[in-house]
Amino acid sequence: MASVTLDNVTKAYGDEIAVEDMNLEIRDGEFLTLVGPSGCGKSTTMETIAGLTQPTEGSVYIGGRDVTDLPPKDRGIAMVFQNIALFPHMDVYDNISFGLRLRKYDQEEIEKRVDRAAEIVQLGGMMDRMPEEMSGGQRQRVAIARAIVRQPDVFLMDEPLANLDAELRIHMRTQLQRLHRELDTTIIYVTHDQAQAMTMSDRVAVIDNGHLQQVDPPLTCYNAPDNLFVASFIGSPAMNFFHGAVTDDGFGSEFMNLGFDPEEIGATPGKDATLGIRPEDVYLKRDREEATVPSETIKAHVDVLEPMGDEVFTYLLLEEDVETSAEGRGEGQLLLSLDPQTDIEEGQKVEVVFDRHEAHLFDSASEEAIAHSLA
Amino acid sequence: MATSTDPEDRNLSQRIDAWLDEDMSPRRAIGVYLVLGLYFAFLLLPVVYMVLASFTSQSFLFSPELVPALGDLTLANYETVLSRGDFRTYFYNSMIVATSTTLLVLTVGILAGYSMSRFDYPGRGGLLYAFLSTQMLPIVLILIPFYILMFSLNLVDSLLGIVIAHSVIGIPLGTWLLKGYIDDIPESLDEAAKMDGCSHLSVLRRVIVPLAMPGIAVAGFYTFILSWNDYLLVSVLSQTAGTRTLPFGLQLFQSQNAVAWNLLITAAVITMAPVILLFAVAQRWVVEGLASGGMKGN
Repeated sequence: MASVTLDNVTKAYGDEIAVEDMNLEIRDGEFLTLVGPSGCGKSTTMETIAGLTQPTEGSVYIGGRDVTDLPPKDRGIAMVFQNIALFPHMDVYDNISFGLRLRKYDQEEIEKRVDRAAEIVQLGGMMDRMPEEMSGGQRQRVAIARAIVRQPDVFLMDEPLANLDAELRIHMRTQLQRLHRELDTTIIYVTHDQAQAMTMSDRVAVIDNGHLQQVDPPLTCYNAPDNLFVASFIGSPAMNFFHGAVTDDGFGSEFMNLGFDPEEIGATPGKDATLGIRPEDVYLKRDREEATVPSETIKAHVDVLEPMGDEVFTYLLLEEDVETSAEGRGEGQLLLSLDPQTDIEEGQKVEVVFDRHEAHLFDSASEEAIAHSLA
Repeated sequence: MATSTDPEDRNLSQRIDAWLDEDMSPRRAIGVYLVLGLYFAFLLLPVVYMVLASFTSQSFLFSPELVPALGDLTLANYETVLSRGDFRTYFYNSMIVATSTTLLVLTVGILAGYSMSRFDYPGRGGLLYAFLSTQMLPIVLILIPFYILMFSLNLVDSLLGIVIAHSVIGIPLGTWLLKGYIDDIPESLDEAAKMDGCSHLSVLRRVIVPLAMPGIAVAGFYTFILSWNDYLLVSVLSQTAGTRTLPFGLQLFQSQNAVAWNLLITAAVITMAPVILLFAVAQRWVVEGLASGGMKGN
């Protein structure tokens, strides 16, 4: 067990800056997820911690020890790779015991530890199988066993579930959480899948463009996103946004106005601002009492219904001639989530309200959050 | 639909395809084996005849019979050939030269291939093309400058000189081949091994080499044959009988006026045998290697 600290870490590949001035403190025993879109620098951050790549600037500390110049093997870490990376020419036992044999543990100790690791990931009786004879989920469990057998201070997991099918992924997700509880080890996990980030982590580090956007528990990132990127990235389906400006008595935009006292929430009248509302905080007018502080009524008509089984994603157009684009929701469109038994039909005119208590206001220029409740 | 159902419209290849039906049909098998049988008969019958002839006498070779009776077979030719001291010397020389060349080429090729596949350094791309360019010139073209170079290094008429000469030819191709092979091994295996405690060299030994075995077998086999069969370089670099190799052994049994065909053929069989034996040992990997596209460049 150990904490991990990134101190002003920058990694550049030539002119391309992958990670810039990253400061991150991962606590002892914590399950921290690095999440962000592809190419945001999360894998580079992990490789820097692993020692597979050297930071251009800055230092990495593991357990308070400066490991910046140490090779991976001397950092007390183990890693699970996205493509699993089992040695194809070795059977399960040899794969799991590889690290221990390299470190010249005695035979008895190796066998004891391999048995224990195999037991944790439920691989009993498969010790002499070759990787090619196993299913994806079994291979992934071997890879995890190979990592835990060395009893590392820190686990690094780079999209370990990305190559598994959906059902297995959800199953392994719970397995990993159980594993974390059982081993009580620091785990650093990389994924672009915010569902994995939300469900497993103690804290989530949202990264975009090589910069840390927010490091907080998953629900904090969800309920109080620090900026527009976090607001749009965390949560599925994504938040509704309205681009407008702060006025003397609230927020005004082409499709939506909202009254509040700008001074009270620290907003400057005249500044460009963006209003964000999550789909589940929008209600039909007849259900308005479900909102803590309902807003004024918004008129719209239903464009598309997407029944998901447990809910229906309902896309509204706030005016008849709103332009819809292929690139996701545009201005004047609003997504809300309805009960699957709803009687709403496509093309129908509806009136909706949203929960002012859950409305977010962002500064459009700096993209930073101004307020997380406009009640 | 591109293919018409009207038989008149179908071109020849479609009709053959239809006749051959599915992959596993007996008709297709017969067709395939017929073609392969003819091909191998053409290639192998002379070899079979040669092996048979090595067990017969000179007089039988000139008799009208094609296949010797069991009683006519004799090991006398082998006795004669192998009892010649100069032939034996050539055989040992060939073994030493081909084996050393193969080891040298594989050592350099594995290290260079690994480095070119895994590390980025200035001049890496240029080096790859420089290696390739050496394969573009016929050896005859560089023969004289090469001789002068070897002469100035005092390596003419030594086995070491011949090993170096053969390696000069073998290393570029071996390196390219092995680089291609190692490129196909996912780099995350290296990383996993390093994580588990390997240095660069032990990654090479414990992960890369075992996984590149097919490529190593192909490169090794190719190099061995190249060195074993070479006549040209040896003819220039070897000045005395002490450094000649087996291809010269065949000359021992012909003079200006007469050729001892039975002995010549026997010497040829002895020359051929180690290569066939080596292939028998290495074929497990070689076949796998040839099949998995080991010649992938860049």
